[in-house]
Amino acid sequence: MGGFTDCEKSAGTERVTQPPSHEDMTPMVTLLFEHYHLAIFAYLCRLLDDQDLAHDLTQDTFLQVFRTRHRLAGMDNPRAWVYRVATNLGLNALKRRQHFTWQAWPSQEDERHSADPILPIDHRLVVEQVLARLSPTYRAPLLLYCHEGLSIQEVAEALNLSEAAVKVRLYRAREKFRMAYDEASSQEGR
Amino acid sequence: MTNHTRIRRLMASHRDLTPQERREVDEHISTCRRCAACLAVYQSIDQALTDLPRQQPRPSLRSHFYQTIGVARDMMSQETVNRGVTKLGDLVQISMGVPDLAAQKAFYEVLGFQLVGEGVHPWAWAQLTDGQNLILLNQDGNRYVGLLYMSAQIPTWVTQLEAMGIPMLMKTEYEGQVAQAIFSDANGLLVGLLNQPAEAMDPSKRQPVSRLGKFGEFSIRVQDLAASIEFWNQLGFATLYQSQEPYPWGILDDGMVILGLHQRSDADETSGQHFPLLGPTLTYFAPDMIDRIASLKADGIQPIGEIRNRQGEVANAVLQGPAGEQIFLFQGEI
Repeated sequence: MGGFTDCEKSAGTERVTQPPSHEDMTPMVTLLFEHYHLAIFAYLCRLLDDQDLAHDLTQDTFLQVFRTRHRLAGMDNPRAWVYRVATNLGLNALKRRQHFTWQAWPSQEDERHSADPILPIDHRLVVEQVLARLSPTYRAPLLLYCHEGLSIQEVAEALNLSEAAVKVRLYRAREKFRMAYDEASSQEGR
Repeated sequence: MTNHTRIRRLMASHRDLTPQERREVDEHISTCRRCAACLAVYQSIDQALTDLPRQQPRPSLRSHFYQTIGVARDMMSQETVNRGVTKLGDLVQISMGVPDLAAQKAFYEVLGFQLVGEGVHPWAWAQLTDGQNLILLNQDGNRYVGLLYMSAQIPTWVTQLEAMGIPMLMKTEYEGQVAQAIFSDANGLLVGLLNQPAEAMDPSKRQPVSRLGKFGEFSIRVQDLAASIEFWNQLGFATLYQSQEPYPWGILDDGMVILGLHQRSDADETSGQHFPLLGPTLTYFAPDMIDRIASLKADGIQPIGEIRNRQGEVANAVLQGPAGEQIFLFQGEI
């Protein structure tokens, strides 16, 4: 293994300063691609439930990042922005393909805890089935927070929502998921 | 909204609770079995979704992407495209020279770092991880903290670095090829290059495992931020963020390690406003850092510096390892 014994410090380097430019951001785009293209593809696969479409939209995500790379200069959290581009492309594609199946949320949901959870969420096939059936409105924040490990702040940036709105949506998503899982599991057990 | 609903809304974002919210949840579920069960289900949802297989894209994704932006690249000046090396290696480790390997290893294990490997050739060493970085401890009379890159392409990189005017402080050869080389930035940060194949850590799989929270940056003090950024940009690091407040600083990333560059004057260092940056420092962040610091103290890890919040709780702290290296702990989200 390598060590640094008997080293001396080097002389200084020559100072060269350049203002940030559009071109300067290209290495950043390739870095973002190398860093996140696998994660974005996995996320889009789950969001879209369609590998071919996920492949195309992963490509489109990074091309869009490349085309608008000047925005990366000084950006606090490029990762959240990449997820935002991917999410927008994904949700638009679902709308075009009329995959949206909006489910009305009961108006009294805040006061209601029907059928409190008892089942552990551990059956992979049922998990995949329930996730695919969940409305994209709830599937996206659930995937971003639980599958991709983004923070609430990052999910808010990715979905262009306030952090408070993300927390509410995440709560509703979890409740939707839990109830759908319980229902799917009990049907499977019949 | 009932109190149960409020608690469940908090639990739905359980990784991002403030210490006060976490206490509120803990107090509630200690007396409410239904909400306690609900938290367990929420956590099992997290686990189930984390465990879902991650599909891999077709190899053509990468080639098509680079082919497409390559068309655009042709329109740029070659000077910009060929500014420097694209990366220094395939894998980087934070490498430390430590006089007492056993004590050093024990210290990091108490901090929750996991042992990856250890050996005795060519000297005693141990490799640990915080889940996001590899830390290589080398038994050595000389104390140092630097970066060590590994790749089977090191001879090529060394040639290119020298052509860029970056001198090697040390270079060893084996069978006519560079086996190991070391250079330094203008501020004395040592960077080792080891000609050895290494597999890159998958960035999407990196998750914090230590008790310190999420890794923020490998922080160094620099004399001239603009010059340092230019230097590291040439070596494949992209600038993620830079600011002039409260002093000039920036964060750079090469896809393997996050480098924090801090241009502090001697007055900054002694102002009492910041923890002095005495050498290369590991910096971590966590929203519940107050609890983490208290827990570390309870296990005998005594910080050498502390900053309290308005409630008098220790929210930020500096730890010192047995070799004298520093670790900054900050309350906050990154």
